[in-house]
This record gives sequence, structure tokens and C-alpha cells, in this order.
Amino acid sequence: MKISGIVALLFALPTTFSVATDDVIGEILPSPAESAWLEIDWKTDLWDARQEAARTNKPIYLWEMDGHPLGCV
Amino acid sequence: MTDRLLVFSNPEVQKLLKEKFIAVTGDDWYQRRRDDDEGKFFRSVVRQSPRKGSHTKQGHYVLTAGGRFLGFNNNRGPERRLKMMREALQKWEAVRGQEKGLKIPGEGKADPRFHHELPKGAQIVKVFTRCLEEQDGKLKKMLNDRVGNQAAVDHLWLRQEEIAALGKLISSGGGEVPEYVAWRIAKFHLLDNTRGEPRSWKKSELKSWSLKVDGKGALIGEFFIESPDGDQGYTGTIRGGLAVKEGKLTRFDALVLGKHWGESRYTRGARPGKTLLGKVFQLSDGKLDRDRIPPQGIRWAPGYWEPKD
Repeated sequence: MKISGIVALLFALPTTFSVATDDVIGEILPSPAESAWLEIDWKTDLWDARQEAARTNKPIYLWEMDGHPLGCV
Repeated sequence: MTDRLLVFSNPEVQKLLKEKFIAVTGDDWYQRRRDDDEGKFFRSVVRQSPRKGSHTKQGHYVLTAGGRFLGFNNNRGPERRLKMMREALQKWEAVRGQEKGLKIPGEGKADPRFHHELPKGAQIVKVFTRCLEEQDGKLKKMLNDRVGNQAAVDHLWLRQEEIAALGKLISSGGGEVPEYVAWRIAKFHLLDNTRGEPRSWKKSELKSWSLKVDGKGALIGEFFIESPDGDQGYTGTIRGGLAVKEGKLTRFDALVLGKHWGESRYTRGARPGKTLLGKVFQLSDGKLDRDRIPPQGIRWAPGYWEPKD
């Protein structure tokens, strides 16, 4: 992310917060510990997963949520 | 979100998934409705599982490429999940010979009502959201044992023509961000999704709104959103920058800081009162599968692209 641009803008403009902006961005973004679950090679297409499972002779682990597990919350 | 930290960050779960399974994710809201090959296949597996007959199909399934159900679990804990995975692997060992050499045909046409792909020329902005609090004079994420303490992620999609319009706006000296883009950001992407799926804002709840880009691409916004009863709302500032070169976004960064209050049906457990909520918008190149997950708000696509109310 081009944080420097944002930081420059935020310091140039009045905001309701007097904080170091890049620190805040760092607080909001997922930490490495929070991102550990993404070390798994999650596929997003069940049909593709079927084809790969057949090719590699492995079973499929399917994680279903109402709201996509990789992009809802 | 609990699954992410408690289960899928567990080294033993990770090792098993990486070595023994093909891991895939899906949105049950679409999967249970799709009238196409994928939807039919998914529902044929569900009918073999404990989710048979239930409205929601959420959970964790193990199945074979051929569609044989091997296991299910919906508990949030690594021990039970590992137990289910190991039992499913034992079942798999008993049947794997029957699926050896299985050929899965190409997928037929996807049901366009319940399958969304990034339109040609469109681009993706990732939207991260976090509950914040003041600690020692600084804005920090909440302490680890609090509900909703993790970063949430969603995706803002911008169409080719909208990107071109933004580029034209910057080169002409700036002005208000075009209505549909601005309203899409407000309605679907200024939400507190840290504890689940929130409802989107209604246009009548946008009490005040301004989102401008200047001739240098600086993005400046102020907003005050509130439900009619005052029980839910979000007010704050947007600061960032964007750039468009040859019709493509080369930059879209924004930081949103404000106070949010209230909760909706699926986001219970909000902190009392008006509390700090921050958002970071980041342009994505869309190269990773997970970056191309459709926006949560696009379930009814026309209402996402051109929200009216």
C-alpha cells in the first residue's frame, strides 16, 4: 500500500484524530498472526477443487459460510 | 472469524489440510441457490450430510471429487475439527480406490443470478475494517479477548467506466465522486462487519455526505449516517488518494476513521455507545483467488452497481 501518500494527506488536512496515521493503518490491517489461516491454499471454486482432487486423488475439505469465508467479515 | 484464529491457524490443522486435502471455500447463500452444475453438486453432497433439510448449509464438509460425503463439523475448536478430518480420512482410505482415475467434466454455464465475476476492465479495492480504541493516547486494536477484535475484509468493485470517470474528474481539476461510486461506498462499505454480516445502509440514513477528489487525486470525505431511531450509525472522515493512468486505477488508498454505534440482526455484541471504527481501502491487483471474492453487497448485482435507496 502506498501509505506515504495517505499519511501526507492526512497530516495536510484537518481530521478528528491527532494520531500517527501510518500506525493506525497498521492497527487496522490484519496482523501476521491473524493472517496465518491464509497460509492454506484456499481455492474459491468448488468445480476446480473437484478437478484437482480427482487429479491428485485427495479428498476435498469444503468450508461453507453464509457470506464468503474469504471476504464477508 | 473465530475459525480463522482458533482452527485454521492451528499448525496441526494446517499440516493436514495442506498435505491430505484440497481446501476450498464457498458462500452457502449462493451455493444453496445456484441452478447450475456447481449448485446441484453441492446440494447432492449436503443431502448426504447432517445439514440435509436445514435452511443453512454452513459448516465444514469433507467429500470426494465424485460427490461422496465423508464428514461434517460446525464446531469452533481445533480438537473436534481434527477428529472429524481424521475420521473422514479413514473413510477416504476405504473408497479412494473407487475414485482413482475419475475424470471431472468441464463445468457448464454458471447461473448468472447467483454467480458473480469481476466484469471486464473492473478493478478491486480491498476494504479492511477494525474496531479501535484509545490506549495510552494512541488508536489501537482492541485487546485480544474482546468480541469483534479481528480485522474484517470485504471487496469494493469499480467498473471500467467508473474508473474512467474518476480519471476524468481528476484531470479536470476535481469534484464530487460520481454518485453511484460514492453511494456504493457508503451503502456497502462503511459498515461494521467485524462481528458478522451487517445490514447495508439506506439512502435516507445518509444524513450528510461528501466525498471529493481534487485535481491531484486527493480523496477527502466526511459522513454522518444514522438509522431513523438513532440506534445505529457511523460518522467520520475519509482521507486518501487515487490515481488513474490509461484508464486503470494505479492507486486507490483511503483511511476511514470514525465512531460507529449499534448492531443489526447478524452483528450482535457491539460495544456500548459510540466507539471507534477504522477502515483501510487498498487497491488490489486481483491476482490471488481470494482477492476476487465478490463484494458481500453484490448478492443482488443491479443494487450493488447502481444502488437507489
